[in-house]
Order: sequence, then structure tokens, then C-alpha cells
Amino acid sequence: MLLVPCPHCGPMNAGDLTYNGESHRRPDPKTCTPKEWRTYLYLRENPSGWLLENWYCSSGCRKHFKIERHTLTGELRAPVLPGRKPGATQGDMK
Amino acid sequence: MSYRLPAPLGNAIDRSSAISFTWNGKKLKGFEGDTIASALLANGEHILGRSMKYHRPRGVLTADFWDPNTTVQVDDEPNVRASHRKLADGMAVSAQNVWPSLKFDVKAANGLVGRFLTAGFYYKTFMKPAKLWPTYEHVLAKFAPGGAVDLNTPHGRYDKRYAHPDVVVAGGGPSGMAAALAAAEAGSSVMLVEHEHQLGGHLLWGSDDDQVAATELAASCEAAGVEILSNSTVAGRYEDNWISISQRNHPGVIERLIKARAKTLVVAAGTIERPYVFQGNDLPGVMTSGGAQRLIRMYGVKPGTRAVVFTANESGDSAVEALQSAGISIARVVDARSGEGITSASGSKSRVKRVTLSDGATVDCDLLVTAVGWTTPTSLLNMAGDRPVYDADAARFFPAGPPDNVLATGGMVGDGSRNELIAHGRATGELAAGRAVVVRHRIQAATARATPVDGQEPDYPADERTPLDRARHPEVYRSTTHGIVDYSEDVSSKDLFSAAGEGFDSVELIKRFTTATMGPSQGKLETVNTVAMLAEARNETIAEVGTTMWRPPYAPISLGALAGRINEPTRVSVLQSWHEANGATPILAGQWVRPEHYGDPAAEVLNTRTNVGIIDVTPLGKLDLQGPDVPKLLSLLYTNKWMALPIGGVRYGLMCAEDGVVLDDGVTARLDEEHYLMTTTSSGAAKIWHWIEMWLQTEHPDWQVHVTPVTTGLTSINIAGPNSRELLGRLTDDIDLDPDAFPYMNVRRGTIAGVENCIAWRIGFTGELSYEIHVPSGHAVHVWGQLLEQGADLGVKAFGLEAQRIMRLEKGHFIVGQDTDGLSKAPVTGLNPLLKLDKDDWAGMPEVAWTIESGDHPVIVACQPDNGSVVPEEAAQILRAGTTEIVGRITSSRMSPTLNRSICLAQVTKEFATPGTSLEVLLVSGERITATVQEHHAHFDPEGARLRG
Amino acid sequence: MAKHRRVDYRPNRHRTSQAQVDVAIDESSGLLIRRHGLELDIGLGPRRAKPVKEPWDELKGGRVDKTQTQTTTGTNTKLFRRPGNPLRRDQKLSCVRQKSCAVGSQRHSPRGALKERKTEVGFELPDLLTECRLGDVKAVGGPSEVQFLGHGDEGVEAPQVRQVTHLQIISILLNSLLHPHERIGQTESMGKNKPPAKYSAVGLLWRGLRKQSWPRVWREPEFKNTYDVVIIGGGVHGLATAYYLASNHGITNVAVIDKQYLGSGGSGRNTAIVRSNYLTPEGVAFYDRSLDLYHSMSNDLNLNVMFSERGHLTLAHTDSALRTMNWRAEVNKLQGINSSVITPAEIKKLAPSLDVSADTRYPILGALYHPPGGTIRHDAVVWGYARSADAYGIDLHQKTEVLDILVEGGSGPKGKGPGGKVTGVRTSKGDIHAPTVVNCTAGWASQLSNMTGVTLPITTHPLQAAVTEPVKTFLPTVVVSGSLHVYVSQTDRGELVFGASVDPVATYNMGGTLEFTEELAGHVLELMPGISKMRLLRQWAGLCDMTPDYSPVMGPTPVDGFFVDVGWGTYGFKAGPVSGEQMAACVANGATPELIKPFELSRFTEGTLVGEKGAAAVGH
Repeated sequence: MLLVPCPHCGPMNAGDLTYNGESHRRPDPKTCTPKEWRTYLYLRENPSGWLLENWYCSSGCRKHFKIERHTLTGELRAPVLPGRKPGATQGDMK
Repeated sequence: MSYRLPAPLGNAIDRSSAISFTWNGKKLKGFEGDTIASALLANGEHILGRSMKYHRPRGVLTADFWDPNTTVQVDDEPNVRASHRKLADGMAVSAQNVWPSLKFDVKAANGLVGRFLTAGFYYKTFMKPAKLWPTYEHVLAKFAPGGAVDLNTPHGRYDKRYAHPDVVVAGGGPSGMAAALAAAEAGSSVMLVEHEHQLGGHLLWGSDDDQVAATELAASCEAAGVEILSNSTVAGRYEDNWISISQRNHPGVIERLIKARAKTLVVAAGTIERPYVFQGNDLPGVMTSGGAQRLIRMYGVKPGTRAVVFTANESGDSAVEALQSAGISIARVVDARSGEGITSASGSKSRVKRVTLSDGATVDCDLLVTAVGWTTPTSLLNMAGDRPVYDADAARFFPAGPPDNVLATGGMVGDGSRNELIAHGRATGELAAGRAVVVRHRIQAATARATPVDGQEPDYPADERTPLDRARHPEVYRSTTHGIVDYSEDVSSKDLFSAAGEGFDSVELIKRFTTATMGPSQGKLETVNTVAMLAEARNETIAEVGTTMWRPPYAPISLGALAGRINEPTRVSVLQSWHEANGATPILAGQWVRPEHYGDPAAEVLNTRTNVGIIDVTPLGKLDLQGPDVPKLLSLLYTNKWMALPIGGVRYGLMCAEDGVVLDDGVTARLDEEHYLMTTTSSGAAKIWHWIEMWLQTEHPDWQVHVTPVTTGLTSINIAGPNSRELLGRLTDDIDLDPDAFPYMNVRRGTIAGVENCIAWRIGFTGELSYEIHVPSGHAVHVWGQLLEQGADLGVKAFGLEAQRIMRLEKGHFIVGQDTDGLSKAPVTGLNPLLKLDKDDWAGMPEVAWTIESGDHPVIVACQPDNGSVVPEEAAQILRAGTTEIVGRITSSRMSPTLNRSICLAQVTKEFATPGTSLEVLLVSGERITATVQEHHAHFDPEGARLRG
Repeated sequence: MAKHRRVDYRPNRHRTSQAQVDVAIDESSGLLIRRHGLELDIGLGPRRAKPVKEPWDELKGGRVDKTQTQTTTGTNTKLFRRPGNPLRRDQKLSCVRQKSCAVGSQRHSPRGALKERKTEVGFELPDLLTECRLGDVKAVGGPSEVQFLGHGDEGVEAPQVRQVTHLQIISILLNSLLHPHERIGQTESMGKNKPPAKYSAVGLLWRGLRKQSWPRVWREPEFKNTYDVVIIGGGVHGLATAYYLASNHGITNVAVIDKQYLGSGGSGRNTAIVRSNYLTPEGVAFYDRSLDLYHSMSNDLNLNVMFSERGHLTLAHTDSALRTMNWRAEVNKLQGINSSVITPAEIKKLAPSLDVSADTRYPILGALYHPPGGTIRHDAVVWGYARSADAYGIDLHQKTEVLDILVEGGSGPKGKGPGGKVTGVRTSKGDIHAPTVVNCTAGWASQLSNMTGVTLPITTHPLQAAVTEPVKTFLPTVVVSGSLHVYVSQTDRGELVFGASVDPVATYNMGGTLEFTEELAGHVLELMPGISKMRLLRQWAGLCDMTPDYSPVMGPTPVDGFFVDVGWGTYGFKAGPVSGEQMAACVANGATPELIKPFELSRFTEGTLVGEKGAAAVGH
């Protein structure tokens, strides 16, 4: 099982976290077109490579955080809490 | 006749301890330490099973775990590996895949028509007439190999363990032991896992010196604090060195699954000896050099009396020595290194009798030992992403380059003397320990902490091991004749050639077409031979053909061990013991066990409508929200407005997902200036908590809201019915229950039955005057008891989930997930006044707005069958009259005890939603009935006079 | 004049190949062999295949009109676009229509290659013998058919109507018994437009006796630079699309490209379960058509796909699950699907290994029982389509990776994206010019689509499966539990095959997880407590292209000439045949058939999702 480094709790078994998928910008609900909104809802880049995505430390500190993960190799880098810059303190575990 | 050899041969058995067992009903004896197979051979039982397809007699080939045709039934356990499982007293062992008996098998007739049953023959026939295929299939299924499952087998004791060792070493041969020892000496915590019953690997059946060395190394490991797991298998290596270990000898359990997060993994799985492919290679009496040596040296069993040895390497040479030490006469040594060869073996039904050599000469014998080379079991390295590479000079595959935290040693990476193997193992152990230190440092560094980890990260040790040499080895795979390649699947080299000729000529296609390598040994014996045959058929090199991926587990692992102790928790309210004591019928609702009813749900409804009822609604999700920005949060998540909810006010709210689909609903109360209590549906409790946290942390991290789930911290009781005010009034002094002071949709806090800090709000799912009280759970049993005691004269009775469902349906309240579904956008509920499109933002708003704009959506309506005695099933379809066009469905239905007629909620298309519309409902029975759409969702008291009273 | 008795087509069981022959018994005088104009009415639904009126419908009693039964090569070749001269879509349309009009006389002869060697147009025994097996002819006592495996060949004509007397039939039988080698020998050659060797019991027997090997199943074709259609993905979907393009639409200048070997993706990794008891009418109609095609597949493709119609149980452990089962049963019933909710006692009879007692953690309250569901040998489906597509001359390029899809005139960067037009693909073996590219790549669908500038509503998740060591068979049906996220069936070899729902984390890594096997074992033992001593032998994973509404994405895209058949999630295998059939129609006709209209990509921008989630969340 993948070890995912929660910025608070440290490396956690991925099964102890909740995966929230690709990170997406939410359009302004007042002004967006159906196409923009549904692009936000449904369309995904789904790359085979590095992906910025959202995780939720649901069995630990209950923080949402973003992390870059390589969807083929499982490598992880730069976990970060929302609203902060990628932390320099977190090392690469592997 | 006994085939048991005298001591000192047989280092694994204890001759002082005899064991009785039965073989196909016959009583036999063996010794402590025997495997089932060695005991059988010692008793002169050479045929242990029959092959899958042709039912050819088969005996011991390798005398280890991978022995392909020696799986037997032991009591209620199928597929026991006789060459690995230790004999136990009283075992009832029987042969599998035989009918009617091992000696005489009717299905052996298949062998006569073998030439027609080529690999994949079934793809080419049985097509016509199509009607007969099920019959053919039935017959084919009769040929399913394997033992029989006793479906009454109890779930015995299995267990699991988590471990966090620095180093896991897979394989307890000389290199593995040396690696474990070196790593432990370097300060690592080490688990050494050996597949067989004792440490030593090939030293166990080697020379006397080898055996002494094995004993010494094992003792050193133990002394150094290495945790030794014998009869255990490293079954899998998953991401980030998540290692699964199947431990088969833990006291008190049948099998234990160890899940270890190793910082480094050392793979020292050794090598597996390949069988040789030639005509007659599956006759009992044909065995590998390792097999013969194991039988003689470990179990003191004589595998035959007169042997031919076909050798291409030292293992064959040492087999000759072993045979001689056992007093077996050597009829002939055929040395592949000097160009000699064998072409076929022939024999009786039960035993090899004669071997034909390449030069045409024939030699009589009852044992043919082959030593033609090695397969590297690179499974664990495969799982770590490594793809092995073939070395033609050494005639075997080698690891290409596993990741840094996985290291291979021993026979997997090269050859050498015992001391060279030990030296390589030691170097590997030191490297593994050094890297484990760095990994440990990095894991600690990846955790935020007040005090940084001490010191700098240590240098990452480079791999400076002196590689083991690779001994040259001739490529000896197949003679000029065809033979069996996959023993457990009965696939011959001829099958492989013909499959390749038909175009199934990549290694994966040939595997799928012929099933070679797909049997119980999963290619450990067969893969390289399969690849070699394909290479020969394609006139390519083995390197060009490549190999298949080896998948977990390394060795089969029982479902019981994977499941562990069966533990599927349920949740109950603190009142559950009362419910059980009072005749509640339990119902599972998600994780919760709840009272469905206490005998008669209809009576519970009527009592609640006429007197007063109480229900335990603890599973209702409850979230305590505090902070100045709670109203903003509520406005964002609920579809209606929340900025002006006064203290003491309660409001209903509907939540949508971002696609506009109804997500959840519930009521939220403002308890204080910055303090709210939100309720969610029972099933939505966890989901909504996550939902709120997601919005707060990602979209609005500036909002000050603190969320605490209090679902089980507060026990929730709904008191409903005309007498509810009277009843609650008897239990509280500090809550003014006067309708003007405490009107509908309000909340008060106070003391109930002497319990402080209770919350009571006037809401009702039942449509009655009702109070929902939330009591600190430690006092809930007391409060519940007081309600029953104080309300006895008021007719108070507990009611269950079913009565509540009936009453909510009488009131026309929909249930999220029952009356709505995964596509039901908010307007489907008919609650359009609650959908405030003039707010700035709320989750799902754009989709809801567009849905309202288009008007193209189904609607929830209340309807009543015209014949009030018929209750259409929930899920009964509503059709356009006289057609099969579906225009809706019944989503909820019950017989109403209050109205004494059937009542329903339904989802219908807009066209059929107008009150008064007649609906045609197709009952499950096939009958069509009519029902009429009602004016209000509520079938009962649509004005709400009772609950507002 | 004798009555001409028509063959009972049973449209839902009909053969899809257009190159077919009816055999009807003229009760007084003999056997009428007639190529029928069975026209698949693509787009009108699953059960609408009907015979088309043909010129020779008036021909009774075996009268032959050579002017109608012969055709010229010239007419036929117009049906095919030539390399280097790709047709515009409207041209293609007209051609296809023309072909439909000329139905029958324009058909490709399955025996074309053989007929070519004959100078005389006429019915000859060896010809019939070449193609029809003993069993077929034997059945000529009642309504029957001699079914030809459809092998296309341009412009070569075959005889249309010939009278065969009973005497001839007897001689056919005798001949085939006495000289089976004649017919086997004739089909030995393998190559473009040559029919593959006929698989049959007689063939096995004969080759066994003569120790003769079978010819190749498909060619190793040369790499060409131009095709009319390039299909990316050599799994069931891609190969079926290719096959139906050829068999139903006469389009054979087609390449199927796969990065690895045929069937290396989901087609070879699924748990081979088929069923049609879905929740939405759209889903039911669609999958039912697929089941029909599976039913006739062994004979259509002359390769036994081992369809085991063993029944399919979906267990309900909760009230709400039972309600959904009832809902599905009702929708199914209205659409003529055999599917009903049964009680625990009935479940116990069907699958005695299940624990149906009431006091378990997940009590079995009932089940949706679907007798037509079952399992099929998944690899055989791949091989059957590949072999037949190859016989039509379609090129199957294995170990060929698509590096880019070439698009011109689009609104995005490099001329890609909406408004653009596909011009070809760049592969590891070179560029291919093609006006039409079909993406049938399942887990890698997003990667391929992104190459054209089309973003899909797809995330890729692994779906894991596992198999146990074999034991004597004890589980006669397929068992699915949505609440416990597990499904299980037992193969004829005795192994239990397990699957679950997709892993929650999107990834392209197929390594598998330990947790999957732990959960699986725990849940299976909840259902069948007696099998704890069975051992897990192997686990593996495949990649699933999951969509938000658990329904596929099929049809055209905003890039002209770029079609998708993706988003198949966990249920792609069940839908392979119908997807191929419908995608072929979509590509050939330039219009989306009705059956797949609900699954167009545009539904995601229009917000009209399909509500299949309830029935497909554990998609088996």
C-alpha cells in the first residue's frame, strides 16, 4: 500500500486517507456557462504522469491537502495544505 | 517393502517418534519430520496423484513445495502439498483427481485420445449443436482438478499481525541467513522468512559440511536477535515495501498474515530446479536432482534402486554422490556437458523402467534423475517492478535492477561456493541495514514535528557489493522428443509448438491459449521451459521471447488467513440493550443495528397518533458547529437561506452535490450566538462531515468554523404524539413548553429528568406534536426509563423504525436515497421554494438553476391506489396507460394504519405530476392497477395542524 | 410449386454476417440454398433485424437467374475506398447505402478465395463441404441453415441459388465422412481474404489422426501507411468493431493497433461475466443485444467461446438493496429480460455454499436472479473476433504503440481540439494516414483522446481480480454482492474467480494491493464461510476507464473522424459485441445509432447523464 505523507501526520497508509481526485478550480457559479461548469464537474485530464490531487487525512488529522503523485510509478512529492506553498520541510521518503 | 534408509541419512526426521496416518484409507506409518510425500515414498507408495487432463499417474518430481502433482486431500482440506506439509498423527490423506481410484482411473482413457485433445481443443469444437454445449460444459467441469471443499468447514482461527521491521529477508538459505545476520549486527530489526520448515536452503541436502554450516548460521541468526519465521512465505511485495508474509506455523492459529512495512527487503529466494522436457518425463521415478537429494539426505527415503542420472551441472554430480550414499546403484551417468543426452523414458503404468539415450542405447532403471539447470523465482522482484533478463551463458534469468529498497542476493544473482554465497549475503545485509537507516530518517523527516529529527540525513549507501560470478551452464531444455512442460496443467512441448504455430506466439498469448504456467505452481517450474519451447518454435532466442509477469502471491495463501478474524463491526445506541430486552426485532441500517419494531408496527403508529410514542433516533447524524462563520457555511451547503436564523430557531435544509443531485437533508438549530447543531441522515453522517471539512479547508479556509461530530455523544429520542408535551413537561422544569414560548421549529436547552445540558427541539418526522431531545449518552438510559415511567398513564410506548417510516410516509416526507436516486436533482423533490437562486453561491446551484429552467425533470408526488387495499411494491413501475413505456415508479409505499388505506410516494415525469392524474401502476405480479396523484405530499394532516399544535 | 419455408431467423439470434446462406427445404423437390438479405437494422434497437426483400424472393423451386446472381467486380469495388484516396464522409455514406440497396448480389463471398479457383459458377459439392460441417448438413431434416462464416472478398462472386436434391445431401454426407481431408486440405492456406481453417470436432479428429497442425489464427501483416479506419486497441471492443466494419459494412481496409498483444488489456483481465439485467431501459436494451450476440458467437465466429449460461445472482443484504433489485427486475420484465427477485430459500437451492441464515452480519435478504447471465471465456472472444476480422483482410498490428494522433484544423494548440479533423496516427512503426480513428483503449482512453485535444470525463482506476487453486465444482452460478463489493464464479477448471469494485485511487499502476485480497477474502467468507481453507493462487489488475455515471462514452467527438468507444469502467467485456456492432455502424454510416445515442460524449456538456450507477457500481 502506498505511503502518503500527510503534512501533519507524516506518512500514512493510503487506505487511512480519503482520495479526492484531481485538483480543480471551481468556476464562479453565478457567471459560468454550462460548459464551464460541467468541465469542472466531469472532465478530467487523467494523465499518466504527475498529477496534483487532493487527499483528506480522514483517519488522522482530518486535514485536506494537495500532493503531486505520479499515477504510473506511485512517486509522491510536495504535499501541501491548502492556501500554503509547497513545504520545503517535507523530504522525499523514498 | 520399505524404502526408508538408515541413519544418519534423514536429518529432518526423528526416528524415535512414529506417526500413524491413512492413505486412501490404508493405515501407514511415518516419522515426525516427514512430509506426507516422504512418508508415502518410504512406504513404497510412488503414485501420489493423477494428472489433470490425461489422468496419467504421477509421483514425486521435486520433493518440495513446488512439486506439481502431489497435492492431496487431508481431512477437509483440499490441495495440500504433500511434498511440503509435515505429517501429523491421524491424518487422513487421500489422492485427488482420481476416479474411481488412484490405481485404476477411468479418465485415463483420455490419454488414448490425447492427440485429439491438443491445447485449446475445446475452442475448436462443441459449437454445434449449440443446445448441447451445456452438456459438454458439464462433462468438462467433471474434469476440474483439485480436491473437494467441505462446505461445512468452520472458520477456524486465523490472525493478522502488523510489523515495522527495518529489514525483511525472504529466504533462509546461506545468503539469506548471512544477510539477516549482517543486518542485525548492524543494528537493524530483521525478520528472516523461510518458506521451508527449517533454515538452511540447499545446504540441508548438501554435504555434511554444508549441513553443519547451516546449523551454525541459523544459530548465529537467532543469537543476533533476528526474528526467524520458518514455514512462512513472503507472499507479496507491494508499494513502498508493504510486505505480506504468510506464517503457517504460528501456535494456535491455522495461518497468520503478517503485514510488514519493511524499510528494505532482501530477496534471497534461491533457485528452483527445472525439469527436463523429453518423452516420458512425467513417469513416476523421474525426478530432479534436488528432489532426489532432499529425499535421501533430509528424509532418509530411497527414491529408487537403480538410477540413471542426466546431469548438466554440479547438482547432478552431487546427486550421484547422494544416490551412492543411499546404496542406489548408478546404472549410467549421462553428462550433458560432454554432449551426451537422453531422448525418452518408458515404463510400466506406475514407474519408469527404461531410458533411451541420444546414441540409441537403452538402460534399465527405476529412477531417472535430471539436473538441467535453474529457474530464478524473481516473483518478489517482479512485484517491485523489476523485469528479469535472460543470460544465455548461465542459461537462466537474472534480476535486471530492482528499486533501491529491494536487494537480491544468493543464487538469484549468481553462483559460488558456500562461502562466496555467504559473503554476498553479508554484504547485502549490511547494505540493507544502511539503507534502512536512511529510509527511517526520511520517514521521520516527512512528519511535521515540533523538534526536527536529530542530525543530518545519513549518506545513502551505494551498492558496492562484489557481484557473484555466474557459472556457465549449457542451455539444456528439451531433448529431441516432446514431453510435459506444465505438469499440473498437462501441457506438453508439442502443445506449445502447435499453439505457437497457430499464431499464439507471444509468451502471454501462449500462456492464455495453452494454460501453461497457470496452474498451482504458477510457473515456478514451468515458465522458463515454456519460454524456451516458444523460442525454439519461433526460432528466436529466449531473451527475445522474454517472460511473463509473476504476480502475487509468491505461494498460495488461504482465504482464512487473508480474512483474519472475521470482524465486521456494527454500531448500536446505548439504548440497544433496552430494545433487545423489550422484544425489539433488530434491523441492520448501514452500520447500525436498530429496532425495526417491538411486535406490531401498525399498533405503534396508532398509539403514537393517539397517545404518545418514543423512538430512539440516535443514528441521526449530528454535527456540532461553532464559530462566527457558521451561517455562511450553512448558506453555502444548504439550498435555502440561513443568515437570519435567530437563536433558538430550527430550520430544515436540503443539500446538493455540485451536480445538483440531492445529497442529504436535515435540520439545523441555532443554539447560541455562534453555536449550531446540524443533523444529517443516518447514512450521510460521515459523508457530510467530510463534505463540510472539504468546503471549509479548500474553498474557504478563511472562515472560522469548527466542526465536531457528536452523533453518538448525544443520544437522540423523539417524543411524538398528542401527549408528548404533557410527558416532556413532567420531566423538565427549566424548559417552558408553552406553545407560544416554544413554538414549532424551535430549540431549547435545559434539564430533562435531572440531566443537564439536554437539547430539545420541536420538529417532527411523524407529523405529530413532537419533541426531539438530545441527551448526553451517559444518561440516556436513565432519561429513556423516566419517559416510560412518567408517561405510563399517558399511554407512552416505544416505537420502531417501521412505525416511523409509515408515519413519515403518511406525512409525505421523502427519504434521500429512497425517494430520490443518483440522478435526482433538487427540483425533483418538489421543494422549489427552498431552492434560493438569488443567493450568491451554494453547492450545486448552477445545475439546479438550469434544471428548473429546462423544467425537464421527474417529480416526487404522493399518490394513492384507487383500490386502497392494494399496496404496490416499492419499485413498481408506472406506465403510460396501456403501454410498456415507463413514466415513473413507486418509491415508497405502505398500508397506512391511520388512514386505513394504501399510500405511496412516486417519482413520475412532469406530464404525470398534476394532482388528480390517474397513474397506471404495474405490480410485481404483473397486474396493472390505477392510482391517483394527490394534491399534497402529505396524505395525512396536510395543513400540519397537529405538529404545530 | 412447393411452399418455400423460411428459416426461423429469430432475429435476436440472427447471424450478423451478411455473407450468409439460408438453407430451406423445398418439401417436394429439394434443398434451396439461398443467400438471404438479412439486414441488420442498425440503430433501431436490438431486436429489429429483418430480412430484406431481394430480387430472388420470387425465385421458387430453385430457378436460377444468372443475371441477378452474378455481379461484376466493378460495382463492388466502389464500396471500398482505395488507399490514398480517402472518401469524404458523404461519399462513404452513399456508398454504404448503395451497398444496402444492392443487398445480396453485392455480398462478399465467404468462399471467394476458393471460388476464384473455379472457372465455373455453380454449386459444387466440395465447396459446400469446405464450409459446412457435418453437423450442419445432418440437421437438414427440418428448418435449418447452413451457416457460412463470413469471410469477405472483394468482387468475387459466388453462386446464389442452386437446387440440391436429397440425393445430393446424402452424397455430401457420405463424401464428408469418407473424404474429410478434402475439405480440410482446401482451407489450409492462410492469408489475406482466405478463410481460416474451419474448427470442428471432425477437424480435430482428422488432424489428430494425421498429426497435422492447424494453420495460423491470424496473419502477421505488413505495416501499411494508409488505411480507411484505424482502430486503436486490440481488445474485444476494437476487434469487434473491426469485425463488424467488415462483416456488416464491407469496410475492410482497416488496421487494429495494439501496444502489446491482442487482448492484453481489460479483455484478458476481466472476470468474464455477462448479463443484461441493468437498471435503465437504455442499459437493458444495449446489454441485451450484447447477450444475443454472445449467444450466437461460437457459431458466428466458428470458435467456441464457451458461453456458460449458468445464471447470475445479485444478492441484497439491505432493504434498500432489495428495493433496487425489485426496481431492476421490474424494468427488466418490461423489456422482456428474464430477471426476478428470489427468496433466500430459492438462493440456497441455486448456490448451496451461500450462508442464507438470518443472523449474519450481512444477511442475504433476497437476490436478483438472472438466468441468462453467465460467464464466457474472455480470451476466446478476443481470438474469435481477431481471427474473423483477419480473414476479412483487416490488419492486426500487435506490439505497435500509438505515439500521437494527427489532427488538423482544430481550435486548440497544434491544430488539435474541437473543430479539427483526424488525418492519421503516428505509431512506433511509422505514420498511418487515415481519415477515421476509433479509440477503444479502455484504461488508456484519456491518453489517446488527449492526443486529439479532446478531454474525456474519465478517470482511470485499477480493478483487481483474483483466482484460487482449483477444487471440485460446487458453485454453479455467478454470485454478486454489491454491499460486500465482491463477485465470484467458479470456472469449469474449478477455480474460484473473484472481483471487486475499482480501487478508489486513480492510477495506471496494475501492481495490485494486499488490501484487495484481504477485503475480498473477508467478504467472500461472509457469504461462503465454508471455504476458508481454499487458497488464493494469483491476483491481478486491469485498468478501468470510469465515467461519472457508470455508463460508456460512445460515438463521435468534436474532432471530425475521431470516434470513441470508451468509459467502459468495469463492464466493458459484457458489452464488447454490441459495442463493436454499433460503433461499426456509427463509423460506417456517419450517424450515431439509436442504441448508443444515450451514451454520446455530448451528454456531459448537456447534463443528461445515464442513471446506471445503481446497477453498475459493482459492475458484475
